[in-house]
Amino acid sequence: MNRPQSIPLSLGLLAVLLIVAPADSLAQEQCQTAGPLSPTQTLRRLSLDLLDRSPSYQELADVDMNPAKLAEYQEQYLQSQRFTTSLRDHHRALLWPNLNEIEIVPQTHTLYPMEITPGDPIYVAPLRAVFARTIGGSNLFMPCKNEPAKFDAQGRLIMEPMIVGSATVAHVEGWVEVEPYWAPGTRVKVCGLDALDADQAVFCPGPAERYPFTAPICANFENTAQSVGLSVEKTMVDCEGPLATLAPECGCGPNLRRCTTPQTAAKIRETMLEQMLRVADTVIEADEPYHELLTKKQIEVSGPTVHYMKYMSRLNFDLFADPDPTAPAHEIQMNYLDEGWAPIVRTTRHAGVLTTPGYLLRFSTNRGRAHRYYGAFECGSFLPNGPLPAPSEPCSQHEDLTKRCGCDACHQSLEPMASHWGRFTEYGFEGMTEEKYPLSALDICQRPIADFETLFRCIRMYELNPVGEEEPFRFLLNSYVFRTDEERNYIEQGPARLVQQSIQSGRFASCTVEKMWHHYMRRDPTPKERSEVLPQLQTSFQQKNHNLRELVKEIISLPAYRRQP
Amino acid sequence: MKRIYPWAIAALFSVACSANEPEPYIEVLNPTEIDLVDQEGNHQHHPAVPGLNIRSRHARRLSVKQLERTWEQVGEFPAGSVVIPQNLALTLGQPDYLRVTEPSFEPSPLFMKFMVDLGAILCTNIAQADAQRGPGQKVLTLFTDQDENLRHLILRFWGVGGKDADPYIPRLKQVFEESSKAPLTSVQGWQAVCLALSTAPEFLLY
Repeated sequence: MNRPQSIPLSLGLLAVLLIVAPADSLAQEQCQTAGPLSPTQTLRRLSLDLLDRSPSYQELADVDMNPAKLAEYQEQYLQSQRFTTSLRDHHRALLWPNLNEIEIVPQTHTLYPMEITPGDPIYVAPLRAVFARTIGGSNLFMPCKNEPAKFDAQGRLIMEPMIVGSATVAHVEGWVEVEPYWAPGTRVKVCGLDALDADQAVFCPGPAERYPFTAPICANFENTAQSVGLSVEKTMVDCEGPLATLAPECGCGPNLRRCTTPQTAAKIRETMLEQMLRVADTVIEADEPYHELLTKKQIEVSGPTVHYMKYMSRLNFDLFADPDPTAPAHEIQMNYLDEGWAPIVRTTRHAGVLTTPGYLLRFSTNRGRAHRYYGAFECGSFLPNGPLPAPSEPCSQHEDLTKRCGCDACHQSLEPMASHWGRFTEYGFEGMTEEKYPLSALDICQRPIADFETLFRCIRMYELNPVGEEEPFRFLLNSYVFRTDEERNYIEQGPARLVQQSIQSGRFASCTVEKMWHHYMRRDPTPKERSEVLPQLQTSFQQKNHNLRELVKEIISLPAYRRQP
Repeated sequence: MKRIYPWAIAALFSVACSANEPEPYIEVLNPTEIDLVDQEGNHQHHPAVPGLNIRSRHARRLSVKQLERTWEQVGEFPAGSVVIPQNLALTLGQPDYLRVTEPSFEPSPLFMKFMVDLGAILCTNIAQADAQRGPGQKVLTLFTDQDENLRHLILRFWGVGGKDADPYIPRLKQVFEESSKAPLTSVQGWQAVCLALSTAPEFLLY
């Protein structure tokens, strides 16, 4: 859009005032609202509601000349791809797609362009700078030098001491040129440490004088490891795994594939969210039963997501997203720049959008996942049944929230619901197979523990230190704690069971009808409409195999929809 | 903040009147439900309006996305060429689904301020684009006859056609004439009409 240079402000205001202020003759007219809309205005309403745009002048002129054309256009709109697209905002309002707060890769693997020479950026990861270059001094962030990196006879990067006064404040290197995965055929300057491409490197190599900012973290790791008879310091670790953060010689890998820039991270997040919306698109487009949105196994993946699954998803220590054999996106042959979409068929407990990475990361706890599902697809909400009692009350002492006073009103429903996601990692999106995550920690978390990553999984995923009522559940996967036999069955079946139950009870249909009613009528139904019109719509929706397009058609055919406001 | 009901605004400004159609269901509202609130927050009981006894779809203002696509449509701009910046979209009620999860469709004074600005920008852009378009393809001056052109613009912007457009013609004609007096030109007159049309409730509400 270009800024205008004409239309003086006073003229603009005059135009607005003249048209907005009703003429006397019009104001005196006995105005009757709620009459039927004219055919052209009906067309405008249909076009805006079904296509998110006003009709073209040609469409309006056609209907103005021949009102019978209205029905033709309505059908054309309903069958168009733009109709599917117009429902995206509705699905956004259900799924809340935003991953901006999720650190999909650790800061050690996030490159930012730094312009020491204007127009000639050098990419550097600020946190790696602190972890791997800085020793002391007042400036913690120490980038590389603005000169080519040097290597020794063995091809190892030379780090040179930077001395301020008489003190060494950092060890720094120069830059190298790399062809990045996000722009093949070009070369960018990257600090030498960040550009390292080893597959494995030494974890916490020490000494503390050389790496003062990682030394306390390394000591904590080592203490934890030693408590179970492991040692982790100075061991070789996988540079595409979570321990790479503390292995200074693990860089961004070939073509920088293990690191993001702000732009590539945004693109990866965007495609994860787009993946969810495409599930909805395909269901509507193909007139599949609308509940397939929540149950279908097939989804599509795109280049940025595949790249992330292959090279980055394991890097963040706080994100549990190992390559998932039940959703094999990492096996697809696509590179980062492939913007097309390829289908993959997921297995076991995967269920529509409810187990996509986008949904699982947006709602990172099982309770959060269940809560959003409940609000969006069952039109339910949780309301406390009163104020919380004093913490000293015996009733407040229960560890089990379904029994704790003040919490029980919601959690008696929420906990069983949440258990349907019990075999998906919280704070991640990995399907937790029985092989990798057996029900009991006794199989993998007893000495000798295989490695530090396994130890970390044991600590995060299993009930190793139960308290009070948790004692009978010692060593179980966290999601099984306090669950009854019936609820364990929910965990085994996954979210699709919850959806099936909702379909059978009619809650899914009634909620969909209510949401669609609100979407197109722009208001809540009156009590009379709720008791007479909505049940008819629901019955019809169920009889027509939960076809959303047909439901929309019925709503926009109601006389109430076609009246003036 | 006091709530201004969009349907009430639409009802106040609506001028298209016609007879009731036979209805399969008609619900008589409890009179206490009809409670208009003016800009100062004073509740006013509107004089009897027979149509208010019948439930209809509520009026709602255009969403950010609808505004973008609608401007492309009325201005004959290429698809995807009208883009409201993300931060402005948030201000205009589009949720980011992180801090804000519910869209807002309030026709607030802030929204109207932006619509006047947007109208000024885009009406000028249409005039500039029209200068490059051949006869029969122009938006603001498709017809040489003034009344015919006004009818065309009312239909294009508002979807109001036929006799329903009659009451608007004299007022828009006045806008055109006042805005095209020397030293202003007829192009500026049509731009002013475009601005009047695009800032009216008939355009922004539906």
